[in-house]
Amino acid sequence: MRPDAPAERIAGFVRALRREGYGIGVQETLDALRTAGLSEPLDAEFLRTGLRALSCHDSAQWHRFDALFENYWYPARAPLPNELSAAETIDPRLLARRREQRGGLTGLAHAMDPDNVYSAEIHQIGAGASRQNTLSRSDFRFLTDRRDQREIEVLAERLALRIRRRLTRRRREVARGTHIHMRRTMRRNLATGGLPVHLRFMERRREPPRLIWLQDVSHSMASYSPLLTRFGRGLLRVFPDAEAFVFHTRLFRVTGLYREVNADALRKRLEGRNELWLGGTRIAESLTHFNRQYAGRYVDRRTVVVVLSDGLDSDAPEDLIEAVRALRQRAHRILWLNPLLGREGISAAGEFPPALREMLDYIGSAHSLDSLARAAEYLASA
Amino acid sequence: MTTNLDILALSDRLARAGYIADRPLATTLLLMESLERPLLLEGDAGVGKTALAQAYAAAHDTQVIRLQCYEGLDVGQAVYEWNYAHQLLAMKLQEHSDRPLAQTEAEIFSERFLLPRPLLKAITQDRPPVLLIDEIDRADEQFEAYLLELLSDWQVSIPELGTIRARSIPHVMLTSNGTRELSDALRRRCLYYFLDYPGVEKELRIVENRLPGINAQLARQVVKFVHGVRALDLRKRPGVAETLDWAAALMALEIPSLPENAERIIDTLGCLMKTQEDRQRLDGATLRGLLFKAAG
Repeated sequence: MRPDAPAERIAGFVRALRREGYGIGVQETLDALRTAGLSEPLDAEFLRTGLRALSCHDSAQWHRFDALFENYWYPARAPLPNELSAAETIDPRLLARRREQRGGLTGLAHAMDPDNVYSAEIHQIGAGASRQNTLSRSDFRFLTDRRDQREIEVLAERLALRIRRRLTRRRREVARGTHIHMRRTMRRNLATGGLPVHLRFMERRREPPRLIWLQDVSHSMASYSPLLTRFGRGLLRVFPDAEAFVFHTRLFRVTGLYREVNADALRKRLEGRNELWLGGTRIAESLTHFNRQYAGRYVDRRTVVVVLSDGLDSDAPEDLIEAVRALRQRAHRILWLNPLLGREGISAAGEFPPALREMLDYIGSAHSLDSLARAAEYLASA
Repeated sequence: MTTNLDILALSDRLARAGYIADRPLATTLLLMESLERPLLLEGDAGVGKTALAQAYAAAHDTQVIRLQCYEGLDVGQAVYEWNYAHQLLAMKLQEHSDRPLAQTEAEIFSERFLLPRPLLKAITQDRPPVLLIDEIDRADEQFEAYLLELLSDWQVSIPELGTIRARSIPHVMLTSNGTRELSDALRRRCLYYFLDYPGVEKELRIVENRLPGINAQLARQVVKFVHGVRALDLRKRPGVAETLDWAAALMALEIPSLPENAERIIDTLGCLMKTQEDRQRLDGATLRGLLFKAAG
């Protein structure tokens, strides 16, 4: 462990964690210092446990924490990043030199030098509040930095979860209804000795629709799949009876996977099923399969169907129109989100045949957070 | 000041209450006390989040006050409610008295007619209880915002009665299964601990602690078998609770060892796998493979 003054080193570690996306405020920093003061002499494992409990706010941060801790406090023994050159991987002297350089430069603390990071961030995406705005508008396929990608994925899921407020099942007070609001009625009828002359009511807010999520995971959608998967995962947690399906040349029901607790685990399990991931595309065939096998059970007049696809189909356009028509007859609303619509010169008129367009209630892009926000807004009122 | 001895002592007290806590978990629990922050526990269902709260309360010789969250949970169910039936009765009794209306109102909205729910109960105890807010992710955002206020101010405002301040600050544990994302504000207010599935040796200690009569060979085989099952691509992986249920079932059936009783074991697998989809995943060949590994 590094021998420098603990308070300064802890503050430096907190700053490094912040730059890694950990939301640590002033109070957490003060508590981190208090934690260090609780162990005399300072015990490294006690400090590690305390800082982890204070700074991690979800399982993804929790699982990354140990590597960051090692990197900062023990730069010489921390695992090296996987971008080692071939020469370094086979020559122990080169490897030792690299470790020495890292140790001498205070490891992560140096790598995360504010000036370096700040200029890098400005160069890459913008800074401060404007960075969020820029990220929101950025086409997801151009985000090459893993931190930016992860941030946008988390934001996409939160965006979906925000709909929950609109769909809340809490009751509200109304003048007329079927359920008596006891508390209000009691207060209203004090003057009549509790005799309920004037009744007050409460009513349940409207039932949320059932959501069907049909996501194209073919090769042409690969760059958008992480973003859309997180968005879909969020929606599945918001809409009570939602069902998720993915398709390329075949259709698969993945509701269970999308309800996976951990987002990283979801991605691993999806990628683990090779047959589910990144093949060619048969949209019409997949939708026909859906109509045949699942529509009877899951689609009715309170169902909103969301199709996410770039429309690059190897089936005939007439087949697709026929499949959507069959779906249209059962469903309440059909939304089609196409990431290509975010590109210059590509419009819904050019991408969707008129016969298909007129059957869709909403056509929008899905290439950025902003475009997903518009779709979410529509879904909340659908 | 927290010393090694404090950590070991807490681990020991938890073990006596039936919970095997490793050093980082015991340290985090001590920090929860020192920093007076709630502890947010996350992890798959069945890894022992709720059991930890119960064991912690037993180790501190105090009570657990549990609030089970669900969608639509509101202040009336979580904090307090008025006893409407008694209020109505009281109003009827005073119907013909000459007391002014304001006095009647003050009386029927007094503490006498108040029904404390878990949160109010927790802050009005003389001895700090363990307040377990179970599955907070199932409650909606409005409730979460209210909870955040309560966890900061330790007081409850009742419009008709005024503000009730906490007599003692409870040890608060929140659990979440990730049904929805919790707010940043709530996460930042809490210490965080991710409870993962235990390793073989730790789970073996848990089984032996909770089922003292189990034979050592069966216990080890059960734990190794369950670890093999968890490595399968299942919809719902069995937690520690399922391991204990299954081990208890095997003991009740007087099965001394797994590999020699493959046929009888099949009938008991419902203790481990709770969906038909997962049950089908464990076909004959997979089962034999797991039994072979468990015996090794």
